[in-house]
Amino acid sequence: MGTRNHLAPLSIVLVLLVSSACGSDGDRNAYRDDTVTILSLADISKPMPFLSETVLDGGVVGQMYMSILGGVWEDGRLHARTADQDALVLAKAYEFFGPDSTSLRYHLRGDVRWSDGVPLTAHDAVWTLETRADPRVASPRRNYSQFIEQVEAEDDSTLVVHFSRRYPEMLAHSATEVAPRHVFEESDPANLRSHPTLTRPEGGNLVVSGPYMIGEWRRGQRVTLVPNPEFQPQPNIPRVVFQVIPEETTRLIEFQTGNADVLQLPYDKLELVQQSVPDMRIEVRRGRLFEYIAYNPLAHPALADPQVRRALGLAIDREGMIRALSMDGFAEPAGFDFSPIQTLHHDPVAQAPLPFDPDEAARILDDRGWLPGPDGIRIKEGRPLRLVLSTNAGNQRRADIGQIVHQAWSRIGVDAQLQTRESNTFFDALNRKEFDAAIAGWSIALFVDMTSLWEGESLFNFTSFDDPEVSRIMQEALTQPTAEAAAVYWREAAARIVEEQPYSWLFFMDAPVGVRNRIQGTLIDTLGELQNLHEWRIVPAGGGSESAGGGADAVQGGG
Amino acid sequence: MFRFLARRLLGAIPLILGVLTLIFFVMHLAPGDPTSRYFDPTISPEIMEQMRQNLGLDEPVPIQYLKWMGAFLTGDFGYSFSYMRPISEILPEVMWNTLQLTLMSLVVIFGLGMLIGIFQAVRQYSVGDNVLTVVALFFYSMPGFWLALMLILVFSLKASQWGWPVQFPSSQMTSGGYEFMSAPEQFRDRVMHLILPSIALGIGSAAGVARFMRGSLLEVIRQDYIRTARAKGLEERVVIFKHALRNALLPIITILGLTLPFLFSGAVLIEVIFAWPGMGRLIVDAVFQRDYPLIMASSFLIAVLVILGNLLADVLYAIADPRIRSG
Repeated sequence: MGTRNHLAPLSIVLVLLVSSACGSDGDRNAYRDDTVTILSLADISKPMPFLSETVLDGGVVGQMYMSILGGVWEDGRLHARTADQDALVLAKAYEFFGPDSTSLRYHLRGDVRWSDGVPLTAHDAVWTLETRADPRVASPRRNYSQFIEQVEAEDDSTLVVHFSRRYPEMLAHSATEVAPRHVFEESDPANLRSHPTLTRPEGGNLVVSGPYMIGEWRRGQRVTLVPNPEFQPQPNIPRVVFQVIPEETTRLIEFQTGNADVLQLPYDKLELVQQSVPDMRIEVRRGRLFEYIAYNPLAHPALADPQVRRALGLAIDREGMIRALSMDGFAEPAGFDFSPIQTLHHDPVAQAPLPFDPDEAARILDDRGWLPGPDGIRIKEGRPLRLVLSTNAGNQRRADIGQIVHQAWSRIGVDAQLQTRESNTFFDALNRKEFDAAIAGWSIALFVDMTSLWEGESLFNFTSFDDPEVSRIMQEALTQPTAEAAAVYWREAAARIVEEQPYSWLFFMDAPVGVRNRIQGTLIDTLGELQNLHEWRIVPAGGGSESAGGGADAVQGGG
Repeated sequence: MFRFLARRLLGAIPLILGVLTLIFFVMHLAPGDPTSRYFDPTISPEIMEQMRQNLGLDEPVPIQYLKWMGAFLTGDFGYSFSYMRPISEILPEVMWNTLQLTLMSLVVIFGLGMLIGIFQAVRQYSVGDNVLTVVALFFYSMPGFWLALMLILVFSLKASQWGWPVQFPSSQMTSGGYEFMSAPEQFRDRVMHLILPSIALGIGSAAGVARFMRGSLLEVIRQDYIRTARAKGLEERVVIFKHALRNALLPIITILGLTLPFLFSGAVLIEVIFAWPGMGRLIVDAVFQRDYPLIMASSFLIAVLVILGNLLADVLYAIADPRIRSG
């Protein structure tokens, strides 16, 4: 009797397991046919236009909030798109006016409603731009408001923005995604981030204007976007799931087992994935990231000499490094901050990557008085050319770069001791200029302004670069009315910086994104993966194949 | 017993406050702060300074400490800097996620470990004992993260590629479309998601428990009173499970008591690999993001659990061994 009693709960569990194993495949297939699953390294954070923090935030916000203007990357720069070109855009037209064309008037659509049924008007846009500029909010994009003097709504569908001067990014800095004034205007600006609709946005709590809203948010696991019923035309895919998986191997396995449709692939696993997943293609997000080695001239006398820095750069085989990191086809050597995709600013001659020439590197070091010592390490006035090459923990690519550079420098008699530090500690050391040489990376901003990297006291000028002429040229660039006019100055400043070699620029990276072929209509480029998520569509099983989305950048899977 | 417990609990209060004070100052001395994640040339230092002001980080550290301690003593854990939500909302959610995983792994650790240990003790030096010793040592020596990856590789990826009838999910607590499943399907889905992580988390410790159990039981079954029990003609099952096991459990109870904090603190590597949103991941992320209020609240929780775990071990000792109670 006692034994039977003990076995009873076990029997119930077994019956439940067995009966559920016979669950409806039809239901599961129906779910899959209506769902695209995108794998992500991290969760969303602040789903609000001027508060978004992570890359995923940016992509999701772009699908939840309509913006004043849209953008498309063409000819090496961002071009504006109006409502007739892009369903996510509010402005039907815009015009510059006023003295020196320092004001902008946007004519907004009058037929857009928020997901709670309230009409979206120019007053929402005014509130958004004013709140973004409010110092108490501490928006990461407050810099965009630095030249905006006044914002006003002439009527419900006309927005006017007055700038303190004319400059190339007036459109980009004012044509932001718009947030709902009626939801947030009573909130304390300093506590906007903890507004209940932002901390509990699921179930339609978050008021949006774009094609999608947050249907469900299982924190740390997945975010599900569902269509906003007020948005027209309705998006093609009824359910978009962002699945949060921090570990790379687990993400790959989820993709390989067919549980996910979109994944940014690690370079060294591309071949493996292509072989094991035949019904996929690779699309490419063009390079907006570059890696570099920064030198601190205050740390070691050798690093204060531009010729020595040049020698250190010449000793690095960038092509070989790209091959060693399995990034062939997805990276190209860098010679400055401007990527080749920034055709207006990139100068293939003045900003050419340094060649791999260890003999020339050795000759320069000899000339500069750094001569081989008894242990092979170069020495000058009793001081060996021994550096600590540091980088942040948790980035295997940078750790690998460190090994490659260590070997390259040891061949010319430079001893680099590798040091990996916790990220906060590492970046704090860069800020305090307590490093010799550091491997790090930057993401290229869509709107060019190099002053924060290369001007005197800037927090990010780790290399203590200080050239009054370069500063003058950069300030001149900032006052130019058009991107074309400014680019002339930026290129000139770049050429002067390259001569000094404060960094050894290593390479620009593209991001390969694996997309299962059942997902069509994707547009993945410099602006990211999610920019036209509302236009993606799912090809039903057995529904025949179409050409892959992604145009020229798409590569079919193998196998 | 009550007075003993009350004395121990009161004695723990200054210990906990001391631990929290130490953690507070050590964390604030560490480089970086919660605004470090905005480390970007497009974000001006003035904005970061304003963020610090909004979070109250512009005040001297001792003032921040007094404010935090004042709020803490009234039961207010504050807001998480990274989630911008009250910590009293975050911790229960995440603790429940962790509890599901750790309770299941406790079943693996103690259920499996004790069974194996008992089997080995009663079959000492048999082939089974020797094989299980080798197997136990293998799992004991294997790093948990490696084992986790191997389990995923075999029972998820290869099971899918080779068309096995059962494939285990490789990540998260539930499958996509969970909300559209029937109740039995949801139950099965949750159990299936628990199996691989709880094995990865528990099997190494189970091997350890098996070794402890084996050694302890071997010692006990050589005692005179066990020989007497056998001489009385009791069944071997009764001798082992009723007479020997109770006394052999003492070292296992010590381990169980020390395991209590683990129930809530989670296991960061396993949680990361299986994308399990538990306490381990939460605490590590909080440390990396310098989310001071969240670090303090979770440290408090773990400190309390360590003390309660030790207390529980003492109580269980007393239950298992009446001599301790009377002494």
